[in-house]
Amino acid sequence: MRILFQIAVILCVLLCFGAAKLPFEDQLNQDMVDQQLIQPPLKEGTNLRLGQTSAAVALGGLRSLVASIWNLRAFLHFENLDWIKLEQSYEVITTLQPQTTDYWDTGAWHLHTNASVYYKENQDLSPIRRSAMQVKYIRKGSAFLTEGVTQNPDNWRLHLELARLWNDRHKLPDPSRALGHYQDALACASLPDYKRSQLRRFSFYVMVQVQGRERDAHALGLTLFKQSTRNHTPNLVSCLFALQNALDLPESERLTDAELFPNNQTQLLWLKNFWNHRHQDYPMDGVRRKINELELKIQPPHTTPVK
Amino acid sequence: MRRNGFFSPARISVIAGHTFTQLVRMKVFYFLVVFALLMLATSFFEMPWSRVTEDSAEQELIILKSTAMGAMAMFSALFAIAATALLIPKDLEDRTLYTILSKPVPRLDYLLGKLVGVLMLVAVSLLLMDALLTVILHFRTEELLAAEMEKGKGLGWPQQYLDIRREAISQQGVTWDLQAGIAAIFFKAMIMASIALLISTFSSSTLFTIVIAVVIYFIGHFTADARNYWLHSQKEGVSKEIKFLSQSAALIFPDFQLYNVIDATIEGKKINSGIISRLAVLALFYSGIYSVLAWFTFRKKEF
Repeated sequence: MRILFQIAVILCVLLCFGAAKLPFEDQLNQDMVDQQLIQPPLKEGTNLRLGQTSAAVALGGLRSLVASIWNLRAFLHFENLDWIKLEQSYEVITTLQPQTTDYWDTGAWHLHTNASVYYKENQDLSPIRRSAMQVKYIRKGSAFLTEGVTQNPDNWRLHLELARLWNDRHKLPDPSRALGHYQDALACASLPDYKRSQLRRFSFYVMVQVQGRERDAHALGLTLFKQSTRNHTPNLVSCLFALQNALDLPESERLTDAELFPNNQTQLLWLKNFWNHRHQDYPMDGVRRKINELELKIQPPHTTPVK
Repeated sequence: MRRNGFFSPARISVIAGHTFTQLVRMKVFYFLVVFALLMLATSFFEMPWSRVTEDSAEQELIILKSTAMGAMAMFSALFAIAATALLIPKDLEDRTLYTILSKPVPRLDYLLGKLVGVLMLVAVSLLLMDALLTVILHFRTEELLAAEMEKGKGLGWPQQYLDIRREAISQQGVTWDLQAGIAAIFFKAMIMASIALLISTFSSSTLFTIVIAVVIYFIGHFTADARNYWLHSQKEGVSKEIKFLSQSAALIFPDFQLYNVIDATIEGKKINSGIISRLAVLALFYSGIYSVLAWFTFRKKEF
């Protein structure tokens, strides 16, 4: 009887104390969520809710340790080429540590690169099956990264990985989609300043490949060119050169060859290299003609006759 | 005749010191060998064919910290629960309890002494693990920094980029924010020890105390969801039973999710002192309440 009385008193005290601490705890929780120190409660309806809540209850504060161990297990699945278990492992890992970029990135890489190439080169499968499985795993990798982006919307690295994936000509290149992801990456507040210029350049390279965006691409390329000499890369300069021709700009709106290229020899070299990438959907207007002109005008060093 | 005070720090420290010695004699520090091996294995382990990204150096340090901090959280919670659950039954078995309580030692002093003794053990364990982590993390960070700077210079990065990379990698090394994470582990262990002490005052077996404490530990990670459900969920059609359960859980159990700030420190995020102070206040508040309740059940207990 005495023990029941004691338990009743304990519960009453805990309830009173609980009522007193509730606003303090709730405010602290809110502040920590705002500062991204702890994860906010998951919204109902997300497919990870059950997993995450169960993991929180089952594993308590040991999420990071368990995620590390599962990461090692996932590597064994990779070695055994067990893509289904590997995918499941990374789902668990990212449920436990949704804010660790590396887990999203590595999990997606295993799917869109390792698994897709494995199926592409698997001679035991019929060509149709090989192709279907390759596409399936590329899409799985993309979906995995997209889930990462949903949970970490301000993570520029995940947006960048998606952009790279959809710009990879060995996979399922879709410049329009890649451009969208580059723009998402550029919109992230977490993007460091030193990466911004590089990403804008990358988004320009993709934009020039998107049908109907030539004028926007030219405007962006011109801005980048004028912004800094670090942007005077062979690819950007050659793209600008070709875009000016593609848009048939009047002389007043064009940058002259002397403004674009350091000298004739460099121009010839850069344009030749650019021409070698003509299968990548870059505009090539006027490039072949200019190469011919320059070849006639100057004697490249390797063609100089030996005295 | 000197009046015997109700609460004496000197008496508590004597009992705490004795408890600490008692626990050390149980050879609990052998776990440090396991921790050291784990740390060394993680720091030297390199997965072949692993993905190389722009911030691989930072990610490597995050995984090293993740393993170490996870092990620290696990060891400290285990120590706090198991050591506290063992204390009163062991004192009964050794008859030490009768010797102490037959002297003019208030029972609150006895309980607080026991609790402080356990917390000293947890603190010393955490300090030793922290020292080991700090040394290994420092050397690994320096190694990765040197490799990154060499790579950057080779690629012709301007000084500005090199400085940014240096700062980003250093933020994943040994920082005060990491120490704040370790403090959070200690606070969590402190609350667990107080809960185990409260349960052990009315439980008749060590196993029961450990099981109930572990259950509370798990429920504590669900409290934030329960509180959020109660205070912020506007969903209609919720049954009265579910509402009552979520309210009770939010009121009775501590919120351990708040102490999962260790995940943020592993990620290299900055923790401001205000947050850590508030976590400390909450931990002290919890420990105080549970200790007073433990004394309430223990004060007239007959042995």
